[in-house]
Amino acid sequence: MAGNLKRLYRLILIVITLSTGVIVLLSFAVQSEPLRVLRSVFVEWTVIVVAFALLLGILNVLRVHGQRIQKRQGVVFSLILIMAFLAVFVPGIMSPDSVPPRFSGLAGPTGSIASFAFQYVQRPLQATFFSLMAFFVLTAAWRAFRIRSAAAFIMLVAAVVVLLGSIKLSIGIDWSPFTDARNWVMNVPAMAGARGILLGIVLGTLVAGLRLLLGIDRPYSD
Amino acid sequence: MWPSQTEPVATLAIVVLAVLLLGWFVRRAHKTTEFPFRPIAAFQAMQGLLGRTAESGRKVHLSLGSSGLGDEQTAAASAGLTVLRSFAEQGAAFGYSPVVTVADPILMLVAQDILYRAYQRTGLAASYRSTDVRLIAPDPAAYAVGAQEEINQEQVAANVMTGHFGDEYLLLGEAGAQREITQMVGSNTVEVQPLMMATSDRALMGEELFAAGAYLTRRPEHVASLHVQDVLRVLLVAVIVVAVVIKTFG
Repeated sequence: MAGNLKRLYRLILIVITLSTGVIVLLSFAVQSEPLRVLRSVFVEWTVIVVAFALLLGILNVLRVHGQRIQKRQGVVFSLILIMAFLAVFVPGIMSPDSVPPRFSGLAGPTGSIASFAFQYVQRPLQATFFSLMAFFVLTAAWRAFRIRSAAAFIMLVAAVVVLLGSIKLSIGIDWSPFTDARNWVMNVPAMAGARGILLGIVLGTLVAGLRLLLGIDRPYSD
Repeated sequence: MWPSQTEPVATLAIVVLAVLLLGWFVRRAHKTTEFPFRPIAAFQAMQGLLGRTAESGRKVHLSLGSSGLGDEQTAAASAGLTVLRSFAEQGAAFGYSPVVTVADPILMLVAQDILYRAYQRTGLAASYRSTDVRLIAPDPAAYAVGAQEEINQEQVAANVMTGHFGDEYLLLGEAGAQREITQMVGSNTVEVQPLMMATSDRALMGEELFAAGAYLTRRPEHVASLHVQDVLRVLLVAVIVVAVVIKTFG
């Protein structure tokens, strides 16, 4: 009995997945107003599900950091995270109409507190971390260019050619042979390799998508 | 409202062809038990990884990428979930699970469900901890910084990253490489491939990420997928060659 119920449950999930996927796929290929409307409805439902999932995600973050504080692991950072979260979240969910008029500019998702956090905290931090990438690239390149194999040697030669070909200094040296060599490396072997990899990724994505669509891969059930 | 009709119809035709091929190869794969695969270092290292790290009393960090389910990177996230399923099955038998970091709340829920069901199957549902799956942040940069913190934990002995990654990969890959821990990485982004090669000896190249199911679970459906990819690749090469010949001599 339990086995039959489980099979029925699985079948219902597959039918829902398959029909939703086929409708969305067809809505891109066939000019049909009902299909387009259905697709919009599915997108709206997805937004609602994502909103609930986000709430559960927030609870997960608070739980993980609450446990860290309890275990006294990285207490300071976890406390900062929770305080920063509350400082942005609480005014963010308040309606400007629900607070006294003189505080109404602070409340709401577009209020000055949320805007300040994004503009003066999150964006500069993002820029800072991405600027650190230059140093990470340097250490990664140092490790990659240690000649341990024929492939690493070829990579080193290609890198040197590209570096020399990118030099813009005019110090009486004719860099044009290096520039030509750099352009050849970038446009022929590098481009050919990248396109080959890209085609493989596209095929892999297509088949993986079909497995999900046909209910062969079911991350949502056994 | 709709773009030119040639493109969507051609896409639909390729999808229909792929579905037919998949059906045929799945039937064929069910009849055979021998699947000769070329060895891929990353997948070889993933097999039995949880058992080895559990013995040493340390942890495995699994990153499912900086994307989620429901966007254009769903297939890559799904490949990451396949790796998680394999790890969950490896570890649940002795109440051990990897530390999983995600950047998407829906992916978090699905990952938690996969871990829970693996524990449930082995009768150890009580040992399941929902905080083994951690939502870091939906923003790629913030995710990379938070997940880097997990990789830098002393007890992490291996770092597995399978899913979609952008430039932020380097922050994570370098963290593992500098600690000289075992790293297995795979992404569906072409630009990230050289960064992966520079930070890991066990990098999955391009579509190898999507072969996770075939290599780790040996399920006939996943093996059939590899055959479909191969057939489509041969067709694509033939089309390119014919197009080049026509363009050159036509």
